[in-house]
Amino acid sequence: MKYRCGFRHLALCALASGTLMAGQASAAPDVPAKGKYISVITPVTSYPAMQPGPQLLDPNNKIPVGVLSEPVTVAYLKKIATNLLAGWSGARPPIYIYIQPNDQFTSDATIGGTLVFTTGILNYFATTPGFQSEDCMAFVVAHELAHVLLNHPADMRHSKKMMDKTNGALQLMSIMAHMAKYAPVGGGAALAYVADSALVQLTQEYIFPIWQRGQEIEADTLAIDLMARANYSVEESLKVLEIFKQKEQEERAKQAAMDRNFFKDVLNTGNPVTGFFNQGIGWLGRNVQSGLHDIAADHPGGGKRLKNARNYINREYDDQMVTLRAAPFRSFIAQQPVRQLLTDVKSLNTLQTEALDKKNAPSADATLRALHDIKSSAVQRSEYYFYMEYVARKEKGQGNQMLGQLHQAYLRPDVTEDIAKSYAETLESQKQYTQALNVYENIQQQFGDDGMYAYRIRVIKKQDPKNGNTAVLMAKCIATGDEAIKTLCNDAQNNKL
Amino acid sequence: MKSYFYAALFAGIVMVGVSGVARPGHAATNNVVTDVFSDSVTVFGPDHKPMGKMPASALLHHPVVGEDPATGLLRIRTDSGIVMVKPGKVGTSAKVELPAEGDCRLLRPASASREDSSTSGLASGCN
Repeated sequence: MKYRCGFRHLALCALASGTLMAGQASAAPDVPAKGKYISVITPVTSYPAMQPGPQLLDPNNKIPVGVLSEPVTVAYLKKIATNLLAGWSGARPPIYIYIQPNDQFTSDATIGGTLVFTTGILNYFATTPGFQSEDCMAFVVAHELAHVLLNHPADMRHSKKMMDKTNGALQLMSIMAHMAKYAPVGGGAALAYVADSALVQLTQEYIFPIWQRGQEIEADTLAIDLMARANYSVEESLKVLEIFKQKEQEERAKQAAMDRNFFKDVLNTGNPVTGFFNQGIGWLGRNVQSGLHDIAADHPGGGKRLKNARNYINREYDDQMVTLRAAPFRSFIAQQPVRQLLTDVKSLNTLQTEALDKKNAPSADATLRALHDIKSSAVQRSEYYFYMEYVARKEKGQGNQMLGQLHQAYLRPDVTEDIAKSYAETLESQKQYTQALNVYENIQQQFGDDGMYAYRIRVIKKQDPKNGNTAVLMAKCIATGDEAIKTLCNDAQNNKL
Repeated sequence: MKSYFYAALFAGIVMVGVSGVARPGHAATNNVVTDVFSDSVTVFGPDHKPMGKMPASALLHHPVVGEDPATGLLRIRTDSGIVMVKPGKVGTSAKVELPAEGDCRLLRPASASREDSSTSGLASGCN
């Protein structure tokens, strides 16, 4: 029997699989229309105990800034997490807390279940008077803790695997469609519709985030319950969510300003017909992009989150009246190690930003001098600091002398992928091919980065230019279905990587 | 009975007016109540205990003059004096200081492969 499949069927299959994935991934119940959310949750009996290492921090260790651990800050955040967990009747997951030297106002619960808070969020609360209470910080901690308690990171891990499988299937369909397009018979035209892999993008960008957005509302709601049980002021959560609402309003205002200028720009082109056509494409593009972004955003709008939280608090916690814990927070941010951490991270980020601007990039010596001024021992010990030092020394031709330090940095549980790759590359440059191959393979496993196929191919070809067998790795590389990785492997195979 | 209640409410309102402390961010001029989310709102006294309810409409367009530092209750100047209400009961025109953006280039993954950067974060950030 010849199986024929049209685009309509493919689209339905994809949407059905998306719905199925959403159904499988969602472990937590919906927020009830009446009563407290925490009372309808059936806690899981145990949480996976992951050992500290790259998988625990993923994806925060896939960026050069990585994470760091400042003892005073981590202890304070852990104390808040412990207060919040006291109101949780289910099993207690192991709590790992790290700080990310990142100026963004955000936080994260990783796929491994680690809570990560940026220096950006600490700095904002530390410097904005209306937010200087432990209650505001408790909402942020409770939100991430809620993700872990609701098993969202595990769901996400499952979802990622499902997405990878779906991507692979869609890539295969894409290849088949491409072949069918040129076939003399059959429904080639319909199948060819997906040959540009638009469906892959659709699945990645639109189906999965829609599922994830529900989790944010669940995490906000459980966070409010945990705060109430720990006697934190639940109303302070509204202050934090107000930030996201106003940020969203600011972005919409910018969009509206661009649209207002649209007609002005059309008239300024001299030829209104051509102008309308040219400018119109830009206008259309902006609005379509904006509309799609609203659909694709992995977090619901700030206004919606604020409204949900406010309705829930007014419904369930109308009788709560507690004293804000301003003094403990002020005492925390006044401590020297915390202040030094925030100051030094800003310095590192400024230095790194300058390094990215090619025109104003500081010299290697200037970078090393700036690093010398860093005083926070937590920052000095960080992988971020070491990476910047390594890059500067490499620029001075001293990279090979740092093999021992690279090895030590590579062995750490908070190693970043940049450092691991730098270590492998240094081994490779010193013709220690067997060791380099092992490290690249380990990076692939620990960081889940199939791009390492390309580097392994490169090393095998260097190791044995005539007889090095790269066929298996090449086949596996193609099977990833990832265009960027396939290009890398091709480059490695052709000695261009 | 009702007259006693209003007398107590008035006395409380006067006391709130003299005992509250303005906090930065909420004491700014032009910060007024723009929304209410119920028909009536519980009003709190200087001891932070409920004093009774007043029509929510009586708060609309009235200035928010500060925030009680101990509890976070909003202090609103009404026609009958300053009252304290829970922040979740009203929407205001107050503008918060938005956090600095940060440079998203610093968060670029090292990997050349596709990176699904969706996380269980507090906000979308650079995703």
